[in-house]
Amino acid sequence: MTQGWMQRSLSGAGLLSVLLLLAATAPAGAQQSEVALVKVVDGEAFALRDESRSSLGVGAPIFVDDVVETEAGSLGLTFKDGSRISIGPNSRVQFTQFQFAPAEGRLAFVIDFFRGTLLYVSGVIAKLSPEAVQVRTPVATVAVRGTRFLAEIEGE
Amino acid sequence: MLRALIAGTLLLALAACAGNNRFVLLEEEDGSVGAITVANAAGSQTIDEAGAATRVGGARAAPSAPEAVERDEIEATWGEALAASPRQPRTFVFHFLFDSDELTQLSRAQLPAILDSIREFPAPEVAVVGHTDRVGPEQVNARLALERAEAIRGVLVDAGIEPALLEVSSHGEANPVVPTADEVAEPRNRRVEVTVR
Repeated sequence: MTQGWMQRSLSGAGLLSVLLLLAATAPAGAQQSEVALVKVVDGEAFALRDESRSSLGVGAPIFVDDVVETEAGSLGLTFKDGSRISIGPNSRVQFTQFQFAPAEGRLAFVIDFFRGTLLYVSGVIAKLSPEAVQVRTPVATVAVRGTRFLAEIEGE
Repeated sequence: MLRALIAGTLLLALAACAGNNRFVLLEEEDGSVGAITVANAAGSQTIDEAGAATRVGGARAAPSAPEAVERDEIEATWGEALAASPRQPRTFVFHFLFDSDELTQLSRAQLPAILDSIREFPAPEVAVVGHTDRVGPEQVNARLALERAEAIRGVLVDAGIEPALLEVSSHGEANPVVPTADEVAEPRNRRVEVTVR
C-alpha cells in the first residue's frame, strides 16, 4: 500500500519534471513557428522577441511576430518558401504572418515594414497565391505579381 | 508675391516629404518582370516595368504615376539592402520511372551537384517536397507525395547529406509544374523537388 503510493508519487514527480523540461525547451509562445533563417549579416542586426533584443548571427532562426532591425548594419533572410527579404541600415520590419502549407490550402506572407530600405524577392507562396502576399508600410500596402522590388520608407 | 512664395515653399516641403517613400520594381533573377500594386486610402498604382518607381507622400496621398529611377540612384539608396540579399535557392527535380519507385537515371545524376550546392550556402537547409498530378483524391495525393519525398530523403542521406539539414514535406497536387484540370494524368507533375537554400 505504502509502496504503491510511493510509486505513484514518484511517477507524478517524473511527469512534472518532463513537463517542466518541455516548457523550458519550447520556444516562448507555443504557437510561434520558425519562418526563416538569417543568411547574411553585415555589421550588426537585432531581433526583438518577447520584450528582449538580441544580436543576430548567420543561421539564427526568425519566428512569426519577430521584429528585426538594423542601425549601421544590414541583414538578409531566406524564408521556408524561398522568399527573401534583405534590409539596409536604419531599417525595421516585422514578420506578421507566415503560412506555408499548400496541400492544406494555407498560404500567407504578411510583413510590416516600418522604416529604412528593403529588397523583397518572391518565393513559392507568391507563385501559388499572389493575393496571400502583402508588404504593409505606414504609407501604403504593396501587393505582388511575381516578383522582385525595392522599398524605401522614411518612418518617424 | 508673398502668397506665391508661401505656395512655393509649401510645394517644396511636400516634394521633400514625398521623396522618401518609394517603391521600385526590379526584374527578376531569370530576367522576367512581374508587377507590384502600391495602394492606400487615396489611390493605387500598378507598376509593371523594371526600373520604374512610385512615390507616396503619406498615408493620405495617392501613389504617384510611375517614373524611371536611375541605376546610380538605386545603388545609392538600396546598395546595402541589395548586397545583403541571400543567394538564390537552387532546386533539383527528381522524377520516377513510370508507375514505380525507381528514380530515372537523370535524377540520380544530380546527387553530386546537390552536395556541391549545399557547400555554397551559409547555414544551408534542404527542403525535400513531394508532388503528384491530379489523378485521385487530394488527401491520397498528399500522402503519396509525402511517401515519395521520404524515399528521396533516404537517397539523399545515402549520398552523404547530413540528415539534420533535410526538411521533408508534401504539397500534394497543389503545386504543379503544368497546371491541369482535376483527374488529368501529367507525368511532369509527379516529382520530388529538392531545394537547397
